[in-house]
Amino acid sequence: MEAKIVELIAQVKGDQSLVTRLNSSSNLIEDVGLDSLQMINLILLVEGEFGVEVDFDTFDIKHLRSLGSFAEYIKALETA
Amino acid sequence: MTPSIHCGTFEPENHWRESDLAILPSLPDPRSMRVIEAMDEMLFVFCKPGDRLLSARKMNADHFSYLNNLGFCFQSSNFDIYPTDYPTGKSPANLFTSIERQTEDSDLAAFLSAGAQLEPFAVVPGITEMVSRYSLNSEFPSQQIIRHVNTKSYSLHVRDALEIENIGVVVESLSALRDCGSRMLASGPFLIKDEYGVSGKGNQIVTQASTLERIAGYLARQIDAGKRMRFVLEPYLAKQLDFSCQFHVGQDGTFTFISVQQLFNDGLAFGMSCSPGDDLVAKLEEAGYFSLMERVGKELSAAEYFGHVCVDSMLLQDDRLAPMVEINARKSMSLIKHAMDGYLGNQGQSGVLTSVTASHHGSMNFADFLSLLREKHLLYEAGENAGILPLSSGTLFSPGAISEGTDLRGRLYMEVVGAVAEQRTALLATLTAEMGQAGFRVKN
Repeated sequence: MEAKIVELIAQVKGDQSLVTRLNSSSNLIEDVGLDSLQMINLILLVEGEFGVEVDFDTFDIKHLRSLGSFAEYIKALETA
Repeated sequence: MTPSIHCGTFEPENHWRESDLAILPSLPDPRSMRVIEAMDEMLFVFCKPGDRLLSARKMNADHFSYLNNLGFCFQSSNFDIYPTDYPTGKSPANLFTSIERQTEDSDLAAFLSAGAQLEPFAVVPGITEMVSRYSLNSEFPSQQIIRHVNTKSYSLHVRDALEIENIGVVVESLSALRDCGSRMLASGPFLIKDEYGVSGKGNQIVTQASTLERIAGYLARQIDAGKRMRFVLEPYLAKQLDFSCQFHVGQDGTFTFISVQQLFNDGLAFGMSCSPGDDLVAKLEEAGYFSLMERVGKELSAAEYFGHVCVDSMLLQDDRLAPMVEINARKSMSLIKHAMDGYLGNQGQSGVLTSVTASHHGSMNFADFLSLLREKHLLYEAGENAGILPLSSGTLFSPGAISEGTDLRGRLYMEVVGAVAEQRTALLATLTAEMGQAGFRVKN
């Protein structure tokens, strides 16, 4: 799942070098530099890819503190 | 001479949008609100000698002293208007409604002094009440006019009125969103623009049908709860470069051209503002861009607007001009850049306006940061021909963040002074490297 999310991040940022630069502990805000619009775009793409739905009104931005924690959050939605 | 009071609220679009309008998906970001709330410090660039800067929070004393030494002569307010604890809403505070809610303040009354001219960044709710309460000498268009001319649909109306190619469509229902969106998507990605979207927010790129359906579903729940829908849809244009035009429309309709600034945006958000090259200016002259801007000014005057305007424009990859992407009836970052051009021009210098986003764990304050820049020979000082000139301090070191137990994340707005691009690039690279060495985590 993390590898697919990294592909989607690279797509949102328009920077394919991120595919090799990011790892499980990468902070999606500080290291990747996602702005608020890019975060929404990423979430929408992830939703489409994994068939889940994020509640934007209650989403905690802490889930973006690492790629690993974001993947865990999406996994939890998949099994909910 | 009567002083001018420079003050204001950035991202005023948040305060213009009607509460019954449905919103696109968004995430709350309190840390970015702190940055927005401190951006008013940069309005010192508009102060003439004797003018005053009323910032929502007291300006850092070391920064004030540094700017004074550079020759920026202004008085700054020595009190906080916003509290240091932060609301958890999605919008930053509004200076004028915050003042309106407070009991009359003697410090503020003395600072404002009756008869002074109020020079706001944007005309947002509460400003008329403040003018009346403190007997200031200022007139502004009504909120109804301000809201109207700042909508994306008004920009579309002006395109039609001036017979500029108009690729935008207003949608007011879910079925119109789905129908029009699907048609646009057949030719490529498109943008859903909030009526009051600001750069980097309120604009949603749609690249696939599932995203369109997801957004429609998100909006449907709001419609069911009584909200109304009004968005502008536009094909996502492949652009070569962004630029903007700043001008002023007088109360009598007088048009005053101010400047054109080229923008290097980060996605849809502000990145860097630079003076345009001669080739771009020549292209704009040839295309009749400047006379078109004058006609935009006339349209605004006919709509009973007066004040500052920033029109966003684009040069597309196929070399076509999109002269009026949207109208922002307010001051702008590009106007701040223009004011800095004036200051630096007097010193025989030039530069660009940009920002660096960074976080740290609170062991440093702005005085330490200035010392670091001085020590590393990065700080722009009077008489020098290159360096970093910090335009804001509270945006990088905002109060409240440390108490949350999280890293203090902020943004340094600065003028990078240097005659040539390579010199400015090197200065920025050294700055980010030194900030990294000093414990900052600089955003990619």
